Amino acid sequence: MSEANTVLRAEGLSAGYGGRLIVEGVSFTLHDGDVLAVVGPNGSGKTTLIRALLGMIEPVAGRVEILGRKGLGSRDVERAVAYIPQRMEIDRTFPISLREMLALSAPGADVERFLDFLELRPLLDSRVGDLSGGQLQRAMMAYAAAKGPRLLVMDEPTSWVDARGADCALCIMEEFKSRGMALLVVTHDFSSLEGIATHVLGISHSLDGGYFFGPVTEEGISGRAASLFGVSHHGGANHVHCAFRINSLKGDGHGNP
Amino acid sequence: MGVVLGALFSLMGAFVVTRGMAFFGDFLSHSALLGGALALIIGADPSIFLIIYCLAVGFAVSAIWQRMPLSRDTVLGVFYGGTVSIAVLLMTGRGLGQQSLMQFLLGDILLIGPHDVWLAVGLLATFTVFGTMNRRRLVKASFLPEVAEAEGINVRGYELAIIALMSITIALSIKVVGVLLANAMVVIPAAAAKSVSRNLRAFIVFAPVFGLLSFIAGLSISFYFNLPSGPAIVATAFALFIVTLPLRPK
Repeated sequence: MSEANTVLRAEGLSAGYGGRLIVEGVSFTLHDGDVLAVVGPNGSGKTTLIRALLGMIEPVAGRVEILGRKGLGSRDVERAVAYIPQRMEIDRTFPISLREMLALSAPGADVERFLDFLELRPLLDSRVGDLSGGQLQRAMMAYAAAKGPRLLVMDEPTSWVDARGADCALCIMEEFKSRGMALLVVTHDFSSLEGIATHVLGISHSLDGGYFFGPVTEEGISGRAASLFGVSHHGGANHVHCAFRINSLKGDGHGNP
Repeated sequence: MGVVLGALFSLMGAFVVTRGMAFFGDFLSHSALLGGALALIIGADPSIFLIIYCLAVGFAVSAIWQRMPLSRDTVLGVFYGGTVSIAVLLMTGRGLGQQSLMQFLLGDILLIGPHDVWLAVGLLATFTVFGTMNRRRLVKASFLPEVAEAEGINVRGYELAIIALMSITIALSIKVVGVLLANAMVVIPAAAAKSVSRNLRAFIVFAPVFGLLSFIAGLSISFYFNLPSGPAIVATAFALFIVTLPLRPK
């Protein structure tokens, strides 16, 4: 992989709160088309790692580069990175329509992208505060898709949504992967990403060094990591999600064949 | 002048009500009583001193709620009570006149001088340029702060910019309606606009329209019925808010 394909690089990244280190010395590189599953038990520091990677908290040590830049803040990075938090907490009294929210994504954002697939078109002129939790989660997926990012970061995308929302999240991941975008997905359940993830970053205090990083091979993930995180050894396509994707996402993502 | 102030206060109010900063505005205006007392004691120009004071306490409490394990409203509540009580003690102890106190409490639009007008025009221009140039990022930082932060937007920087603009606006509005009503004049027209708006576009139109209506109608009532101008403007804005309550968009 060339430097030009490098989307995210962490070197010796340590982060924590109030002087307490939660993740320590994490290093990995993510390229275009990679799907990294960040797995680990509750409280292991998955979300802390994400926050440090995205510059939301100051790392205690180490460095992070997104698209070769050390610091964030440029419009290039704003367009290139999309983030869907674990649970969306919004001010439901905020006077903003769904169409306006999607347009916030990036200058010239394509608000039409995946609208039909996500069943959001009839809601475009609704106030975002009037959307249900599931609709809001799908709205965030449309928001992320609208900018066409190079890196999509999702924190537990299938944990707090209904079955429809979980399917949508998996289909969006498949679609982004097929378009060569990089994904970083936090999950406590690796099985939901089998067939999609290309790499695994496991965090656990019971591991030497506190973490494990490696590729998902044809045979699945390494036996040691598999036993630590309670996942099967073998990857393989997730046929339910793929079938859903084929039926719903043919064409350009706008619902056009 | 009324047109400039009406537009300025309601546009500021748009930021305040969408960022949940109404109590911060209330804190700033009431705490300015201490700024007024200090200005009288040291013999400083109250207009300029109040701006410096509001900027200083605005940034100070914001730094405290960022660093302390206390919620924003708790920090504001503490400093609200602390600054107002010190102001009353200073005014009583130093024997500052009843008239000065009433002027700070209720304000007087007739005390607005040419430099206040220029300040208001400058602030309105700054608001318009700042808001237009940063509209998308400002809305994102207010509505989706966590997402904005992850995308590399300086959410804290925008918050500090709004605190600065708000501090100067509150300092100016104190002269017009006094510390008791300064924040109400900023918040009420924007709150009325928010309650009737289905989207941002409508909100950005309704907020200044309601602000201007409140100012023009309030000043007219004050003039024809010989009533104090500040309370007349705020009471008009309040009436407008009540009228708009049943108009919530479906």
